[in-house]
Amino acid sequence: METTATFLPKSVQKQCQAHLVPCKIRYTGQTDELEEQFIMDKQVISPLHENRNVTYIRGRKVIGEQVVFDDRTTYIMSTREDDSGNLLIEPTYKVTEIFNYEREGNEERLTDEISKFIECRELDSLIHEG
Amino acid sequence: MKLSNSTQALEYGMSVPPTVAGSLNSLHSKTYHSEVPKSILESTDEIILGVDEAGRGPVMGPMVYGISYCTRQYEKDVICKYGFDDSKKLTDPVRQKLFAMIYGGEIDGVGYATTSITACDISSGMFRFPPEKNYNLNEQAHDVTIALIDDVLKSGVKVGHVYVDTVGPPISYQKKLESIFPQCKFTVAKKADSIYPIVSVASVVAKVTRDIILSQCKKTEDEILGSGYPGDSKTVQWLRNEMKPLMGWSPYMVRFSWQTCATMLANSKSTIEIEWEEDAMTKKKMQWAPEQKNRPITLDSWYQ
Repeated sequence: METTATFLPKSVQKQCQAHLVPCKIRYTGQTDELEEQFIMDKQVISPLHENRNVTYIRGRKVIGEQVVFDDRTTYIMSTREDDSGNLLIEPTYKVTEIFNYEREGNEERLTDEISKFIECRELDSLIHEG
Repeated sequence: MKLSNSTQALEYGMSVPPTVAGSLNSLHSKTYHSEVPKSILESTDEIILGVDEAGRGPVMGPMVYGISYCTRQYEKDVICKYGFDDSKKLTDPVRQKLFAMIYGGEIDGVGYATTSITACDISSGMFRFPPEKNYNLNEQAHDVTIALIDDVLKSGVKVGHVYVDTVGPPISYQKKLESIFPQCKFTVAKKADSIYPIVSVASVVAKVTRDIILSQCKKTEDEILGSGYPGDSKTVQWLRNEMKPLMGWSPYMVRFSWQTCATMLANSKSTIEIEWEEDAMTKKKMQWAPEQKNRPITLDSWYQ
């Protein structure tokens, strides 16, 4: 039997920041480790890191920049299945800020990625305007 | 990071050396320079300078570079008499006592400095990506040594001869130093700390500083860290006890770039797998996520 995927609109009170990190973390769920271990390093060592987020994941230094979408609202979604196996998708957190990270040594990609993404969104707007 | 009481850290009843304070609770490397003794600035005798490190091999804590300098005559008349001439004879309490005599002013003809390269700086330098941006341990060590010598020269000390203890190839390193500081003569040698008393002083400065920084990192007074070497069973036990499933260990404390850490994280059943770009580069072919029935294509499912 064919099943469906349905988006369930819902107002959410819980807010969070989203940090897009340059690695694949094979885990989805909650953790309390970030409270102590997700350290925002305020000491600027390189001019490339000025006004950027600097933190560490398992010894790797990652450099982050805020991504701003003035015309959009971002949510963290969760999924579940109903009794018939249909997929239900609903918002659980409203994302207040998004930061995109790259590894130290690869800071150039941080700017490249964002400019390409902005270009993609501009193109998307042009296509859908008509 | 919580720190234990300094009284406990100094087992032999000495005060905390001035080289320690700036490095406590710091993610980044810190340098400390003593005042240049007047006798050195006024001397016409040749000034000699020794360089040594402590903590290159351990998986935890900083790697400390120490330098010390004095006149050649002072080395002969004073330094050797205090027993610096054979560093093999120096035990931990003797080292602490000798360094206390230097920063306390009893041995007043010696200038010294340290740079404590933190576990965080060591790991992040070695883990830069792409691999050609890697800042390896030797480069980090050379740059710190060069900066320490440069600082001393800039403070007006006319250093004539520099003695450097090295674990790497001495000849190429000596040539590198001679080209940067043509005004100085260099002797770069393995085990220089047991040959040249001024290097032995530098070794004491570095080792005492590292040991105290490491002991101050204990969360409780009875926490057992071991020597910090990967082969030490107490250190391995500490790593096992402290390992967290997602982030591993504190970046203040542990050198993640050591193979011991990678192996421990990979072999533990409770650890969450994290894949980095270089891991994908070493795979034989791209691994694609199996198609899941009835799942919308979203950015996260595409990225699996």
